[in-house]
Amino acid sequence: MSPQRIRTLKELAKHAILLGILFFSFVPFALMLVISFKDNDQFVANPWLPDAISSWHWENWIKGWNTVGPYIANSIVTSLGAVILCLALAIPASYVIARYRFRGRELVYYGFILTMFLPGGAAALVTTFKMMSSLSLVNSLWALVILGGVGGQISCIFILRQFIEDIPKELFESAEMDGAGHFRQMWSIMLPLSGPILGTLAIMNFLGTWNNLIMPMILLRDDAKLTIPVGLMRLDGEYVKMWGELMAGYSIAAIPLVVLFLFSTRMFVRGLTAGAVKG
Amino acid sequence: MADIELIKLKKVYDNGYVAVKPSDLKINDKEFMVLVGPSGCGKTTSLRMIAGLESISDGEIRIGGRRVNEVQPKNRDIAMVFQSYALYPHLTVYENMAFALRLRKVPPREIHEQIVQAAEMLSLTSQLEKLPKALSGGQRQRVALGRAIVRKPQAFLFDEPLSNLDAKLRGEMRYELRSLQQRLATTAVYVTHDQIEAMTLGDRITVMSVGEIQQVAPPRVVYDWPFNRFVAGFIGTPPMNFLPGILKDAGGSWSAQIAGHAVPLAMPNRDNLGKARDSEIVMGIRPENLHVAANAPAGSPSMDMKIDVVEHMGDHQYVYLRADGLPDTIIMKAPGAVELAVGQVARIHLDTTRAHIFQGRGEHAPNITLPPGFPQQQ
Amino acid sequence: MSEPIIPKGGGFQGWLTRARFTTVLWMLMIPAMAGLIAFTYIPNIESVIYSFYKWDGAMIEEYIGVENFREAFRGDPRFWGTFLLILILLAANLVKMWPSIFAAIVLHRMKSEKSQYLYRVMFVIPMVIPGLVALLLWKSFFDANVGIFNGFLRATGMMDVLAWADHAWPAMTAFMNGSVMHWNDGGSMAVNVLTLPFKAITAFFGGPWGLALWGGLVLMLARGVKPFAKLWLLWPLIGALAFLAWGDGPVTALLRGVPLALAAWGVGAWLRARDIHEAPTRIAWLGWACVAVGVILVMVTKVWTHPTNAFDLGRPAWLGHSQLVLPAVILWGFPWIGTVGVLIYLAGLSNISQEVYEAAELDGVGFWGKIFRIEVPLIMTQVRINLIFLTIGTLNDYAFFLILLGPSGGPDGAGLTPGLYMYQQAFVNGRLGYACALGMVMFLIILYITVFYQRHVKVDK
Ligand SMILES: Nc1ncnc2c1ncn2[C@@H]1O[C@H](COP(=O)(O)OP(=O)(O)OP(=O)(O)O)[C@@H](O)[C@H]1O
Ligand SMILES: [Mg+2]
Repeated sequence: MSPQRIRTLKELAKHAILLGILFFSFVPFALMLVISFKDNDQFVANPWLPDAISSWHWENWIKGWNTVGPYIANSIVTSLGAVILCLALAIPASYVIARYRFRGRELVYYGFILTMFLPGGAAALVTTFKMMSSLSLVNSLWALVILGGVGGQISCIFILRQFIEDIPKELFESAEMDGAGHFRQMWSIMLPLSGPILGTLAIMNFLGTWNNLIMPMILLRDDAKLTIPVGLMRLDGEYVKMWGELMAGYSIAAIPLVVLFLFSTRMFVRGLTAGAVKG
Repeated sequence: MADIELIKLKKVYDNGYVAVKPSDLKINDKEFMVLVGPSGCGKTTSLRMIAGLESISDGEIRIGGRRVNEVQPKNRDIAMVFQSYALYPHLTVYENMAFALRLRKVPPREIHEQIVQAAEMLSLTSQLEKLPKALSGGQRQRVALGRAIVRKPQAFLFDEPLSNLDAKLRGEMRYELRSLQQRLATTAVYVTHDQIEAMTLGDRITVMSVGEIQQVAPPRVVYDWPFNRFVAGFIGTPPMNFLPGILKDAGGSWSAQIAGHAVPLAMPNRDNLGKARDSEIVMGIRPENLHVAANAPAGSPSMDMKIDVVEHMGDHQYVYLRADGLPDTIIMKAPGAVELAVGQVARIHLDTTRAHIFQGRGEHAPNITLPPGFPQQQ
Repeated sequence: MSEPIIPKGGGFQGWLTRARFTTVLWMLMIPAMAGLIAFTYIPNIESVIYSFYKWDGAMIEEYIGVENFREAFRGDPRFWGTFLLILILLAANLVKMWPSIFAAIVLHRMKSEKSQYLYRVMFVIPMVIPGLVALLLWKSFFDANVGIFNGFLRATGMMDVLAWADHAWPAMTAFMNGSVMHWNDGGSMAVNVLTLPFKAITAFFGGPWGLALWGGLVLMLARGVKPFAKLWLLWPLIGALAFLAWGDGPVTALLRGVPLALAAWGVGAWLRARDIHEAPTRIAWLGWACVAVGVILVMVTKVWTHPTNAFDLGRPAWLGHSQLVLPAVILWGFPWIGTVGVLIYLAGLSNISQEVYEAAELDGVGFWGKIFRIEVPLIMTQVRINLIFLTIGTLNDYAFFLILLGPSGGPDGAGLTPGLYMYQQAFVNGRLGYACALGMVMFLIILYITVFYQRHVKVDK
């Protein structure tokens, strides 16, 4: 075999491996979509492949929507609010920590980082709940916004600090000599240069709040205020499981984020790779 | 337009390192001052203190007579061109130049005029819409200049702006910078470790070594009357030759005992030599003041040296010579036409009318053959 | 790194400038710090305070000193038992780390930039699907009656294999364990001969756990006693393991542990005396072999010791049977591709230029050589960082098991993690103060691990 052929074969092998891995990664989601159009009998008879399109149960999606749909708005509001809060807190803080050396800087920084190692968990759940009820934020979406934003800022600061420190300091200094104040330097130098990473951090934070189950479960009372994960748990908890509806509900819960992703693929993939370098 | 004055300016870094020892320096209005010195001698530190980007440990900086120690960089009305250019990578050339003006709320019409004018001056007119990464090194350099020019600052600060360019481009930019400065007539402080840049650009040169100012003078003066051995060795390529010896007074006529030879000294200012009678000195003599003199008379200042290497440069050549009893190779600049063979022993005439005597063997040994009352800063 | 431009001196004017400058800096950080203190530190500190209370969240609130801690350390074997699960999960996670590394390597070796980008996009997609959806999906796959996993096992005939093994395997285990237990009771010649190596191991090392531990000791001693002495942070852990493996009490542990440790040291010293350069690698090989054999023996003789009888009808309830929860959890998320992990490794790999590969090819480095000599060493930093977060994540996690198995941790508490146990104590038993105390204990353990990693698992930035 010529070296040329061998090289082509090698490339093909790589494609085969990756496609194999991706196949297994996507099987669950493909099955989710397939099953979402079946009723229970069809599901038991043939869980793997789609049936003839005429026998698809579109009404599963309607029922799924009826269960999950009302919660979507709540989820969007809380996640978006958390992202905005998180960035509003993290950007100035990481700007100062990355750019200036002053007494107490490391102390502040490690004050943030240390929380990554706190056990949190169940013990802090109780006291957090207590705190929220003393602020009368129980059963309020604000509580989730605050917790999502404040919790999310830590990793934001961690990554942004490293990122800003890698921006040549001459750029900031040059802007400073040109007459730019702190906010102007953040706005005109730091934000444009850390665009992809900021977007990625935003999406990660969005996802974190979106996926959070425990907090909303503990904090929210009114049915009208629940977020998607809680809604999904309700679907899952029904005694007689209608698998089709369940899967339709899952799909509906997944779709907003996939759409969000499709709009921001380029930035997200780039930002993730760049951010990953910083660890 | 303003003069810049450093008064007992000192910089100690957090780790205790003294980067700039208390120094005085006055840079005149509209003057092009070059700070030159070897790497790590504190040039950048001084410049950044003038800009306000580095805190001042002690002393004072005055710009236009005003103390600016407490003034924020943005209020000092100074423009700086960084070694790395510091162009904003996300902004076009036009926007890069407009950045400072926009912050100053200059009307858009005026901004446009200024930029067009500067772009013309720097032949950047066709590049205005490009991003920095689409420019060549020289073009980026010019954008950085343009960004400083449009601000019409009181003073320009340059930190080795040409060091990232190749040799040819550096020559061209040197010329452009010089003519630009003459046209704009603005005070400029220019930092470099390249002494050719220093000689060609500066109205005056400040030579620094390990945080201290060694000499301040116009380029010619620095070249002809180096204040001490450090300056003498740093300015000029190839560098001045240093020949260690003992100073002897033979009844009114001075000579240096170098490697067993008595070299009679004939420089104009010999009144101070008395200080170093019979003690260790170093004689400094530039390569162009050495000549091949096959039949020099016995009493003349000459020595036999062996030719080690010859570098032919066309109209002239550099000859590396070795002589018994001398620690270092001696470099001679000879006309290109002279035939010299490697290995040959030649009789070399030392033109001691143009030589200098440094008292002692130290790196900063003072020149004791300067005209009377010669100031360190002029 | 930048410095503040705060000139010293300058009298009152200078002081004012300085003060104004720093004030502005602090103002920019205060919102973030306030949020952090109010919503992260205060609840955590409060939970520390409550760990000294008997507290049910409502009526009872009584200071009881260190009573909670005393109970945790003395009288709560269930809490400490949960750490066994953590150890197993950690080991499983260590294995599950590799597919991501492998995928990243393949992706990196891809020649065409375009397809590399495409694959990267594909790898990101699973990340944006809510974790809960994925979790519930997998949960449904493991459903006993209609679950796709059982369907898959039946369709491929693996169910029958499992049903067969379910009886065959425990029989073999019983045979080995049994023959060990009665190793000097005679028995048939053949049995004695067959199980002789195992008996020797048991006699000398105190069982498979002992062998694995001994191997670990040898590994740590590979570079000599001095570096080992520097690992002092590990000593308590070694002591605890020795206690578990070698004795029912401190005395027996000492009686066995000390000679064994001396033996480990002796082997190392002997090898080192013979050939100074080859010794560390040889000792390491010996150590790894002991660990491997030990772990395999543990698996063979301690796990799956009794038939589960769950496979006979072809409908095992993976999440409803105490013996099956763990395998199901370990299998969870196949093929174990962590999106973020892949991208992190990929970023690390991007430091390798094409020329390095070409040079390696000229030097005759083969397929595996490239992986283990070029690629894996380059992403070691990322692997280590991942390791730290993996460990802490595994220790802290409870949401996963809570959603999957409920607060009781599934049948017989087979899926009870420390975090979940805490949750159980707090929200099922209403013992909030005790849960806070357990949280403190967890924090100390995590702190210990973090400090240990900081010192001994170098993360060079
Ligand atoms: N932040 C700092 N902390 C401690 N020492 C520093 C710091 N910055 C610079 N120095 C030291 O101060 C000295 C002067 O530095 P400076 O940058 O002014 O040198 P320079 O003359 O500009 O040299 P070069 O020609 O290499 O740019 C150097 O020895 C340097 O190591
Ligand atoms: Mg410098």
